[in-house]
Amino acid sequence: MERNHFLIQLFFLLVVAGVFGVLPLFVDNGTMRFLTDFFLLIGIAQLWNLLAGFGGIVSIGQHLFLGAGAYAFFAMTSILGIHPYVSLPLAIPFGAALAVPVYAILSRLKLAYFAIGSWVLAEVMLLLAGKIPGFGGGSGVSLSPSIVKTFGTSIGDRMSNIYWLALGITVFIILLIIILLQSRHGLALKAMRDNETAAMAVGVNTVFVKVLLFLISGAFLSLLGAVGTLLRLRISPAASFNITDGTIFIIFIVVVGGIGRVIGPVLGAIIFLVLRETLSAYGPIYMIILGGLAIATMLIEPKGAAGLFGRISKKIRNAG
Amino acid sequence: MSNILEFHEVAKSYGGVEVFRSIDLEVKTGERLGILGPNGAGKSTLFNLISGLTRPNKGKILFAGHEVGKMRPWAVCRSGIGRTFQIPQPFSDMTVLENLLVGLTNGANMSMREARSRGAEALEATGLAYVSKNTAGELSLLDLKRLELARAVALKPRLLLLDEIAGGLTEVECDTLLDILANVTDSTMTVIWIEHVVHALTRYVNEIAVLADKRIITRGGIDNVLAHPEVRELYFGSTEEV
Ligand SMILES: Nc1ncnc2c1ncn2[C@@H]1O[C@H](COP(=O)(O)OP(=O)(O)OP(=O)(O)O)[C@@H](O)[C@H]1O
Ligand SMILES: [Mg+2]
Repeated sequence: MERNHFLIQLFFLLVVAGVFGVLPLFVDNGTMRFLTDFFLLIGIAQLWNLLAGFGGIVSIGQHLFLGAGAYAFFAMTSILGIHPYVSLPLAIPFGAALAVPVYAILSRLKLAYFAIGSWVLAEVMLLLAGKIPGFGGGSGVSLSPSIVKTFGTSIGDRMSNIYWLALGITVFIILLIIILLQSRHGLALKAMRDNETAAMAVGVNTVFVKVLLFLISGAFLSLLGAVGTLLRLRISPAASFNITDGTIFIIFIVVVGGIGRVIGPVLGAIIFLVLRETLSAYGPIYMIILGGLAIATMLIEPKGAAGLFGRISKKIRNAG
Repeated sequence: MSNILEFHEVAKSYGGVEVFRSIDLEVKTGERLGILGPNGAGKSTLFNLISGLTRPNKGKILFAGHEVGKMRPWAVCRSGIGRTFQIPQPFSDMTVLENLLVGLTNGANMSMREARSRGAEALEATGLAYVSKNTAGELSLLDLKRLELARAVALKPRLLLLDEIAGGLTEVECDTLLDILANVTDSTMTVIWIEHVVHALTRYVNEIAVLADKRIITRGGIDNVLAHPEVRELYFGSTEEV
């Protein structure tokens, strides 16, 4: 039963990935850019969901890892001269290594203090990023043309390569999460999601699981931060460590899509982009609507769009 | 016989609220001990101390030689202590069987295949086999209480802690529960059972300890304890013979 569920998820993921994989042959650069953004949002949201939805770790400073990954990518390529295609995967161990001291500091804090602490740490990193020599200070610095060109000499080539990178990484993150959930550790994760105290009482080492999740999340956020830099073509404290794009919108996506479910961040990202495309011209109203929708979700359907679909499909199945 | 559990001068306060001043308690291997006490006497706190969910401010809690008072909850579980919660704490979005698999794969370190067969066995024994594929969050109160029990006994703990598993059950449900209990526990398993439903308790345990006034006011055979003046005062509101 659960095994079938896993195989269906796997099949679905690969089919969708395949369809999106051939799209660059048919669509224009603008559409590719839009979809790249979509993949990155899903990837970041999956990692936030992994932490909060399963591990019960509520961080509002995960953009720290996005920014650090971007800066590390710049350092590796532009300062150390490492090939960009080597620097990208190196962002993974870099993020994991950074997650160790960050978690060591934050794990001393409980709940609200953890959240606030994570935000403060991210702000500190933002300020530090503007002070390190060689990274362009407060206004940042562009990637050199030679580095940009490794991803394609024409804009079209470059855009498709970055598109495939973002798609591949996000699919990989989702794959990693569904494999994790299917394994025996998955039982521990779902148990922690549902009831942390009971999980501990039946032998789940919740501290170990939390550290593991934090490392995974830090590692892949750092990678996504590096890929985001390819899209922006530059690093800067304000853009690379952006709390609005890197955390606030992400929390909206996870909450509205359905926390603690793998499909949640995907649905949330779709809802978010639809709202962004239709409402962002209206300024502050857009943010108010996002906030209102997130609060309404928490009050009315805490499992978000994923929970809503689940209930509806169950009704249909029971009726049929 | 040797003691499987010992409390040595254990004190516990939550902030300024003192729950225990100094508790001494010995439980022998294979013993079935009932715990009585008024609301707020600290019965559940006693279990939380043993299972590592909260720490004593003073004193030692020894389980088979390990100082569980200093261990984390998962380590306590792996050392052979299983417990139920007074208010059922199911993994609501997981199936009933999965609720058991969590502990079997983590606490008892079994392979998935072993876990499935042991889990199915425990569900059969507790009368939950018929809902094994249901989501735990949809269970009735009676089944939730059974799930608490099933999840704990599936691990075959050496010490089983039951916190008010008969509360809110009808007479008939209580009888069923006692049958189930007799079924899933054997003479090698030590059991401590907190229960307000005295008539259910006395059909299962050998001894009773009564918690009140931040201490154990009496401990011994059922008849002696129930005849104790302070207990009569607490439970029956008078010291008169009934
Ligand atoms: N986590 C906690 N934080 C603060 N106080 C607590 C906590 N847990 C219990 N208490 C307090 O400790 C005292 C003992 O509570 P406990 O739940 O152990 O009582 P009990 O004997 O199990 O009661 P009941 O019969 O109602 O289940 C109560 O005054 C309670 O309010
Ligand atoms: Mg209690």
